[in-house]
Amino acid sequence: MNTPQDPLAELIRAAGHRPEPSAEVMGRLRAGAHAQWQAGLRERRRRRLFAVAAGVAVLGFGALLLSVGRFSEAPSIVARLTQAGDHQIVRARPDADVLDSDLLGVGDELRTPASTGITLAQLPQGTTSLRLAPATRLRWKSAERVELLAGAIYIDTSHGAPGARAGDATANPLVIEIGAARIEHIGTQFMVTRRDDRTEVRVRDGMVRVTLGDESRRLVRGEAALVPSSGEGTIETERGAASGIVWQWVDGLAPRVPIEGRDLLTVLKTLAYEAGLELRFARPGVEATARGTTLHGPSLDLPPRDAMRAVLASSDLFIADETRADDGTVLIDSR
Amino acid sequence: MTGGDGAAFERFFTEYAPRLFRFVLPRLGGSMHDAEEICQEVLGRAMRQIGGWRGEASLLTWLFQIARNEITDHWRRKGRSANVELLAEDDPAVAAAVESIAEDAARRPDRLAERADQLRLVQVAMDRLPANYGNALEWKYIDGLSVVEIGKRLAMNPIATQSLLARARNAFRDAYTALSPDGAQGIPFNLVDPSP
Repeated sequence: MNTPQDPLAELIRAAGHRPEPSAEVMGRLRAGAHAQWQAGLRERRRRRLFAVAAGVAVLGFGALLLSVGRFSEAPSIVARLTQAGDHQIVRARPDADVLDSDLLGVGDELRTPASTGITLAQLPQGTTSLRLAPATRLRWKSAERVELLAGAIYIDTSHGAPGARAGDATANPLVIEIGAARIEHIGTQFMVTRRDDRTEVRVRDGMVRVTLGDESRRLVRGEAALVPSSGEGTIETERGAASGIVWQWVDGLAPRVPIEGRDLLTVLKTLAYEAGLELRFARPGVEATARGTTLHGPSLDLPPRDAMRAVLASSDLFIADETRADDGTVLIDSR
Repeated sequence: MTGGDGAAFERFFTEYAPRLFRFVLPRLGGSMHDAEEICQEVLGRAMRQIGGWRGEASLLTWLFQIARNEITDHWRRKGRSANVELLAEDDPAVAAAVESIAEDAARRPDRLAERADQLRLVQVAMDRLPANYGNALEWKYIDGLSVVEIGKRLAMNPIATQSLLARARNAFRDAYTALSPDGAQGIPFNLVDPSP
């Protein structure tokens, strides 16, 4: 018990507790700082590798330009299709048939049919992947700027080989323009949907900046922004799940995950990442069990959540509570 | 953190983010939205530049300097001069005292704040201490926790906790005296806690 003869104690009591930011604010700050930290790590890693890869990249790019046959006249290549599927490319230049059919140049417009989507990688680094929903039209204004004319796109700036986290936001900047609105990523996975009266931006991981005129809003995981299509008004923000039915078309275009010879923990992390879920383990030892379990079999050609159930079915682990997926987490327990 | 240690990131964030927020908030007129925006900018810049921090200043000082620059830019964008609300600790002399909290307490600030400012300086002084010191003092003198209870929170045995509390009291006394010598005048700070 503190006695009245302790003026130091009295002074501290009189001042009261230092104010703490709310849990919600701290959550957003943590998510944003974490995204920037990860981006910084990737950038430093990339710089170390660049010195070795630079010469190879120059030779390889030169060979690519030569292969299209018209070195001095070929348009700048900005993206490559990574998944076969119905699509249409409207070339900016009628004579741009020099490009291979899976390459896009500046000014080209990519269109998907009403029934299927498609995936592509931003060049030259190739570590930012895009998924286009069905009935989408996307035009490349430059290597780092696209215009969403219709439909929806999903961007993952961390994506290299499945399970890897190659590349980084600062090396693969990409600005999405929709009318007067502009969306820039800061190392993240996010989706942009153009509707008749508004544009929706939903962040699955990392951070995104949405700008409309003088107004700018920063979004982190689990947040969404609504931007009026007219360009007038303000940006509205709301809570938005990082997984679930609104992301269904994105999950349907997720890459196939190889499992042969890989441990269950690594595969679960990859699938959780693709599903926009945070992976948690119910008890100590469950994670170790996952790490010590080696998988065998062909690559999984299932949406991430279904693939997760499939790999767990062959082990002693299971998803403890399916409803937690609505909160953005998946809890793994052992039998 | 530069090696990708996730636990190190969590320790950094837990220790510094709340203090950064408290530093920024009063300098933005109490706007929670603006304070969050500025903190996000500061933390982002710090994360990108952490590899270049060489320890010339404490990490907290370094963060606060980034924050000052961001706040200045913020007010400039709004068409207002920076430091619209001059806080006691922003007085250059006071700022020097704050940033060299462990050094010679003879560098005194030359202005005294009102009673409310005095009490706010108590919180400012606590924020400049090592994180555990400020927390331990609040737990003991505001929340009334026992040494054992505080020790559990800090994962320390009672003897180590008592020692930490004693060091915290001394550090706080020195810090507060350096910030507000007039406010501290006549207050016979006990070096030893009369109620362990």
